[in-house]
Amino acid sequence: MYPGGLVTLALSICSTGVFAFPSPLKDIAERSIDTKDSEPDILWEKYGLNTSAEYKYFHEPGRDDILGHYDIRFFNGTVSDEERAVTLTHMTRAYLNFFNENDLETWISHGTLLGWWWNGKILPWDWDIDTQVLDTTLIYLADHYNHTRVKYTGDETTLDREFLLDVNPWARQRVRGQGHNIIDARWIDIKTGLYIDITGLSKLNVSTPDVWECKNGHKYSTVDLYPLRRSMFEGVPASVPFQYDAILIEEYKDKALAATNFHNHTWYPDLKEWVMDDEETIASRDNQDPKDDRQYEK
Amino acid sequence: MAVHPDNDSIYFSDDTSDDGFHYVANNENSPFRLTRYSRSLIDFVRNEWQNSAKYSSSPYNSPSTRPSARHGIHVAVSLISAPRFRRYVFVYLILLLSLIAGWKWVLSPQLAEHTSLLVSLGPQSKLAAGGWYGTNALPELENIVRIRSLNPNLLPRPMENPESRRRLIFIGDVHGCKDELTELLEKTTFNPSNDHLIFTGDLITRGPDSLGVVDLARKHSASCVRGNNDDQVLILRHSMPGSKDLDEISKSPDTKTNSKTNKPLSKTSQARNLARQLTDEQAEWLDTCPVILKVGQIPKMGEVVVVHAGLVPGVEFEKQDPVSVMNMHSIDLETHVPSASRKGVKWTKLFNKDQSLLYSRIKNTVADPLSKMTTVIYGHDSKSGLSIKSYTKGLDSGCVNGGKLTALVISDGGKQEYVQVRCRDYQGSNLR
Repeated sequence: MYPGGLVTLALSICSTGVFAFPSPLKDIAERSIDTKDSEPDILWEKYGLNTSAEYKYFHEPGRDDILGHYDIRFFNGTVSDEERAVTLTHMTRAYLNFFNENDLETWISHGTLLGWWWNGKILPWDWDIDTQVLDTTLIYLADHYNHTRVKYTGDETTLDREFLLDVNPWARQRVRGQGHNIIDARWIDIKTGLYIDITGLSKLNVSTPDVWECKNGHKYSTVDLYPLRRSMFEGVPASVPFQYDAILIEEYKDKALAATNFHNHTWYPDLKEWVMDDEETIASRDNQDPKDDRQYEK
Repeated sequence: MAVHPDNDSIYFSDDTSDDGFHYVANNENSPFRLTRYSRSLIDFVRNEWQNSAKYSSSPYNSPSTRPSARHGIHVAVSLISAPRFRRYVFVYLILLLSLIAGWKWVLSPQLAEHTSLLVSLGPQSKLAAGGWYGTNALPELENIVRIRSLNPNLLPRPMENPESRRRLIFIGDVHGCKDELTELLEKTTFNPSNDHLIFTGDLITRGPDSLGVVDLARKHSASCVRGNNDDQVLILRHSMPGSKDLDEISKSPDTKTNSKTNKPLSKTSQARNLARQLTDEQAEWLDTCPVILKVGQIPKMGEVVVVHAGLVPGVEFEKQDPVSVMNMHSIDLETHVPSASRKGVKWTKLFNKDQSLLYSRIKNTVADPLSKMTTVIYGHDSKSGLSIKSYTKGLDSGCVNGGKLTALVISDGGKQEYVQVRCRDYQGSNLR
């Protein structure tokens, strides 16, 4: 929702939180309570990952709001807003179904969770879908399901799609490292290159065994996440954090749960939908003081 | 003005306006008095007309008879040095300070709060927030009943009926304190054929006998609402078969070392144990407890609803977020977004203000304005203890922490009565 602000926030949290940690060389599979410098570097020995030369694994064709949401390996031009919306919806359903069928734990997060809270759907202005898994699940995915291609047929027969589960090799390094690989895995639409971001949560700090962190500095307490609640998202079963409202307020502040105008969309309670404002409204809004022009409903 | 020699004490007229510097002695034998009156008593006698303002218009009080400047200073000095004057100065100083303190810490904050609540409920606040909380369409949450209505046959009758009485007994958070619950039922002279029990949630967890409390509630076909602790245990239980439960998390090496000092996790593991211990029948019964129980019309209270934590004013029951309803303490005044945090304004304040505004709007136009009101009976907030306001009745008086267990008994005609029993402190040991 506020990508710039979030990233800055995340970076600032990370810079204080992660660098204070004694050793950045930690492997989830072999994690021990007290890491000593003499401990063998499992990332290097077992997986050939040299932490001093961390490279970026996932690449995008560009960094802006549009190009930043395609995986470069499958990118063949930007798609229309309509196709993007359709793709994101089916991609999300396929992802949730895949995790359900294989008894893998995942839940929706960030802007996707906010969309769930409003009406169980993706926010129409949201370009990326975010999900989270525990680090144990992440490593399990890496060991057993990496590079799985999943065929998917939507409601309409024309919608045959194929999705790729791609786990970042750097997912085994649970600290932020050089910050090139904060996304641990992707669920990629092979046809368009659009993707779902999958991030793993780990307990990074021994002194706070109750706190789960992603590589981007978001922190969650166990009691806010667990037990996961079962609900529906985009028409398929999905899990959400136990205290989803506390998590949303923490990340997006109160207004995100109250204001009915966002990114040129207006919330219609009766329709239960965010509807794109017509151009006139947008134009008049742009011409006026942004505080006076908003349209509110009862 | 006269001295009464027949009295056993020196007594001056109770018209105190005239004798600012006379010492009143009640006990003739007091040594203090003796030193004070070592001079002849006649020196202390004053004629009232000389000093009193009542006689100031008399011709004797003309400028020519006024005391000299020196005499004035003398009078002023004697005024200040007089014990009664000093006492008055002291008293007035205290009064002034308490007035200032009262304004600063009581009245002014109350006025400010009143204003902020009014502003919060006004249209400007909605405009500033870009809308108020509660218009979203939250998807269904699995295994959670959001709203249920009480069987109207269980409601107390509108008028008192000596032949057959009907009562609703609302009981605050029991938290497994079965002995105290039994005692409370005895104290209310609970009679299963006339009385219906309604629990404000959190029947289980933390206390000594959660399962016993559930069985007792089931035995009496009680009603209940879903508390945040009940919710955690029930969701845990539903997530257990087949799926990865929290056992794996707590077994991870990081948590083992700190398992003794880490309270939240051990609370979670307690909840997990309870989730396993519940029989299917007990879990199913708890699962039927809705997030919001609509009780119905009760005289003098209007529409009565029971929730565990609270409701957001102005939002219809169907639109209330179930997790907030089970967890809220405070509410944001601009957006009306509730929060489990205790920082900020209590939801009850905004709710009561909203209801009293509604009441003042309709009291002259509606035949029975009280019937249009909504009264919320809730638990959850043991820190505030019993909290009875016009439209919100908080019944959690912290039984499991050694406080009290409270019942609100509503009988025919809408008569309300609070009954309490003392509780043992079950949190002193390692139960938390």
